[in-house]
Amino acid sequence: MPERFERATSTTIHVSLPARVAHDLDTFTKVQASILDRLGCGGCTSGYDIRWGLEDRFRVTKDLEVLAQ
Amino acid sequence: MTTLPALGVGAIFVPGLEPLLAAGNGLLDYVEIEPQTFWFGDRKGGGVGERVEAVVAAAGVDHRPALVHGVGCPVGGSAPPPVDDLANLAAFADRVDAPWVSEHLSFTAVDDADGTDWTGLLLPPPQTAAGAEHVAGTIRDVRARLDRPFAFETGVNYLPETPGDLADGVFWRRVAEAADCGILLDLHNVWCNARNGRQPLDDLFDDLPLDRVWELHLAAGEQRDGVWLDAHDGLVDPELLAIAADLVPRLPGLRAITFEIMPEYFHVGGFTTREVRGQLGRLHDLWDLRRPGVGRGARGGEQERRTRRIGADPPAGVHERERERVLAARVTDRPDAPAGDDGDDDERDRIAVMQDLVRAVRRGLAVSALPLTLRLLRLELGRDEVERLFRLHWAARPPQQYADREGAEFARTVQAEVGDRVAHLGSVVAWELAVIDQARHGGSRTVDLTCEPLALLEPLGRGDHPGALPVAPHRVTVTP
Repeated sequence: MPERFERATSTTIHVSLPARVAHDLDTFTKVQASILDRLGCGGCTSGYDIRWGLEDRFRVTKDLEVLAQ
Repeated sequence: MTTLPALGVGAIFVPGLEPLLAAGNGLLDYVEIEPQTFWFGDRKGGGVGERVEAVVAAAGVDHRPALVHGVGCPVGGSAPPPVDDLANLAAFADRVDAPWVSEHLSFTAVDDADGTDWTGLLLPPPQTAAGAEHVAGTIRDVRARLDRPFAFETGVNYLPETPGDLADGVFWRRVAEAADCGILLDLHNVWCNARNGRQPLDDLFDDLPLDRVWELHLAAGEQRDGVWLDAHDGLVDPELLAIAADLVPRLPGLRAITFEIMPEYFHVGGFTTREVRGQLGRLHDLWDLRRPGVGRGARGGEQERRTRRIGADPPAGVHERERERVLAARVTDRPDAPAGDDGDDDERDRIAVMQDLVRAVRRGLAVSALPLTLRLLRLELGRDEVERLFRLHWAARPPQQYADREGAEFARTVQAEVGDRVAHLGSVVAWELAVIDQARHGGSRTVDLTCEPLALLEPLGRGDHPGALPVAPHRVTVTP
């Protein structure tokens, strides 16, 4: 959640968000690993990377149940 | 002579495999961590800080040994691993006090006058006598920089054997003996190689200096388009376990047996605790077959097994570096890639499979870095348009080694090709790049969004379209 809201000008609102919100927001990535934990190289495999395929089918309910479309 | 500890049975660890460690509680004598999967390559010290400490804690290094397995500094190519990356790897190995460090006898980069081109996939080096001498030198240098015992991993090779090249086992023996190092024998890799028409396992095991095998890797794979892939997508095939059972008594220096699986496949597979523990139990049965100090090493004599000669020798003067450059260009969809020397149909089919693997890796790296951006694109434009964007990106920009870099490059493609066609897309891209940049360099980042941040980001986080949001400029400060 935002730490503070501040109306700085008549048209722009200033907001502070901790970077960890990126993790908290992304329900699907949280299921597997933190976003920030998967920004390096691919792993020790020469197989088919299915991360996009999983994302392509991704959907969660409001109860955070992960569904495959 | 270095005395290495006998570790027992362990598992690979990257973030996301915590459930594997939990299911295997009590049956995992060690973990083998792949640090480059969770750090930024160009950050000094490997990012040995809060994030690294969290991973080390999750791996349970406080109560069991840890090996370090590199995936970003392969030692098989003409170009040596970057010095900074090796320093990061050394720092991490020091942090967990790894008994040894291993890396792939493969290459992921080729150097030319314009800089370094990444390949997107671990690729097999040319197996020549000169190449063996060269990479042995690389290994000696890497080991000195790591200041730890070093073993190279026997790589998978989806290509047909190259006429005139050394057989896999002979090449690896030459490298190991010239470098005086250990071997991480990836049994699934060499099984794939044999099933794909490369050296039969019996011949391979005769050629290898088996006394130098410190560690085995065991994993699962799959067949796609007629090629067996080292996919790490499940539990170990019983046929491979039987091969391992015959081999283990012949490995007098064996110190570790490591199970490998990718976290995505582990989640998709839905393996039960009972299945995981059964798998690890079978690996302990293999461990019990060891006969330390008993067994023979490499076959005596100087048999130089070369591949079957099915054509003329390679043209004189073809250098290993040039062969690497040609292979890298062919598998990465480079518009100027040469067709290959012999135009062999089988080879072209294998190259096509490798191209598909590189594309999948690039999709995976991009979605790891920019999940919300890609989600918005898919929801707004549809799958076909996203695929078109990917293909434009691959044709225009070379692969990157790390997900953050690939994500940044894909963001450039998205901004150029989509622009304002998708409302608030620029805000989502800017938010995700700011989060990555903040993580990489610390401090705070300021990013301008065109609408209320959480109204945009929260639905995307759930996989929902955020709907039509009114324009409402916000300046967001991303804080640690």
